Amino acid sequence: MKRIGYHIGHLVGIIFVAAVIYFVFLIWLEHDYFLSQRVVPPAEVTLEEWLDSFKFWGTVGILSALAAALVWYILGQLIFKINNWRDSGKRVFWFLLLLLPIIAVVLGIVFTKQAQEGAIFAYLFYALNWVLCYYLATALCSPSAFKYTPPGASAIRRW
Amino acid sequence: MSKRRFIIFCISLLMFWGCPPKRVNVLPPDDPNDHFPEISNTLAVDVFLDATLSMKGFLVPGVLSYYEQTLPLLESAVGKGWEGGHTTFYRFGSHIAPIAGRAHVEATQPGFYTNPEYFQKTFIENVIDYANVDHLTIIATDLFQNEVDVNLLTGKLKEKYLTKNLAIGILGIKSEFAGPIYDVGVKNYTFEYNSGSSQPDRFRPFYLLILGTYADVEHYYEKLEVSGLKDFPVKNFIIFSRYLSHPLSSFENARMVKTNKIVETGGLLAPGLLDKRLKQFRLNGDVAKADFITAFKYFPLPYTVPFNPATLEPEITAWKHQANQLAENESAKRAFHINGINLSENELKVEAQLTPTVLSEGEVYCYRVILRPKDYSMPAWVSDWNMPTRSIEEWRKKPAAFNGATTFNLKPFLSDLWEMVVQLHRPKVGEFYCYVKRG
Repeated sequence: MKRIGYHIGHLVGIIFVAAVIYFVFLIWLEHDYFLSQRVVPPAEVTLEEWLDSFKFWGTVGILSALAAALVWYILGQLIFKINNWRDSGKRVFWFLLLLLPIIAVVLGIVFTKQAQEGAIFAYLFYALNWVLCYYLATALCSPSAFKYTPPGASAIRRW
Repeated sequence: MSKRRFIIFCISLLMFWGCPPKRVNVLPPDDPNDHFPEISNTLAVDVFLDATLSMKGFLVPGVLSYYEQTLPLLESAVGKGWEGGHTTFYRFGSHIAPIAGRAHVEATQPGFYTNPEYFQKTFIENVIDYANVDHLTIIATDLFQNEVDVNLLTGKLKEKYLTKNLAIGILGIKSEFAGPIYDVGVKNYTFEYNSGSSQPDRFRPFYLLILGTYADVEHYYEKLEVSGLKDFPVKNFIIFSRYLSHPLSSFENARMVKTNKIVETGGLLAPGLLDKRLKQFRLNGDVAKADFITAFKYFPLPYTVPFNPATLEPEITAWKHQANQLAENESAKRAFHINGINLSENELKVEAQLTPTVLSEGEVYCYRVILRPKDYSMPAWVSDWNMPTRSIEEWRKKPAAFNGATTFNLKPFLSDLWEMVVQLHRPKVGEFYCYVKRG
């Protein structure tokens, strides 16, 4: 029972990180307050259409980062069997899972509607969101055996 | 930060986040006169036949003239155009009287034009007085008006039709003619004229004045064409009305070609409020100039008076949104300029420039741009068919040179009529609205 509670705690933590990135960063700071004031869409595209396109691809990015973080957790908890993370050689998997959100970000950059001004901010936000989402979710909620596999996690995870 | 302060901060943040910006809930004014009339479902048509002596010449012995061929079309076009359409015939001259039963077919007989009760004087203005504006009125005449009083006729047409947003169609048809022509010139001379039957250019014109809504007038003409008018060698048709194009060029049928420093948005109007005539824009406050180019679809109506497309002029009206109303605001007009208008066959391209610094931050303004032609010109046939006044005295001396293929006062009559339309309605080809918010 205690074991199940432990897993649920970590999984909820991962989802919580994604939710915070989604609502606070993507929707509020980036969509509502930053981009809506700075983006100049091209002719025939309204601001709302452009922002919807940003929100869609931003959501895809965050969901893919969330999926990558969950896969990382499942791998660490159920597949990888090690006692010492430094000797496990599993950091390469952590980096490989980064490819998933990176692909989503590239798709986002390609398919987000063009803009006369301000599109560069959207691209930076895509990158920032998946980095934050994947990194914070894995740095804070990795299985204990791999809690320091994400680079720099030892500096922020104290439990 | 204490726990209490943190909670207050979070609540304030949520409240700030949850307050949507104020939206405009007023649409720009709508001109009911702009509503284009539909073709009537059923229609009563009154046909007035000019029964004066001048018309008798259109009955040429041995020839079925185009005038005679036109008479049956007047009724058949009604049957083709309107299910249950009903035609009533009248004769006019000195008096006006309905023609009972099928007696109107007698209009192909010379006796129709020699009845002393009618034949002496042509008072078209009396027909205008007599006409019912709820009906489609057709007046078949040679337009040789008694006392040549064109002003009286145009005045009546203005009063009874143009002011009521109705249209006046003038169909000129050239027909074989042989006989005297009365009331020529201000001295009411009489000339003999024989057009012959082989040279349509020498044929004498008669006219159908078609009075009603634009849609009915045009529809009637189309049905005349289908009924047989299409085979007539020389004819011309023109409609005088407030409508030059339909629908008016507006954002409903437009594409944005270019925007610069201006953001098209859907967020200024209150949710659920829709008006296809308008677009909403937001301007960043620190921008000195913003501009856009829009290509509007242009739907010219047929048979209208031609105009010079290079003379289209914009008329800009500005309103400021305040207290749930649009209040006209002269100073805001300085922020909106039309830098270019280019009308091609089916497209009207407009370049607009905005100066955000003239506008107050956070306020919403509404701009209406109406595009009106300035210079009109009558079609060439009007001049060609107009009787040159100076030649009348010469013809008096040499009657053989008389040109009966023309109509006295045709050009002044049609020009005056169009002038009245322009004065009354100031016809337009485009009208679009922009809601603009700075910041």
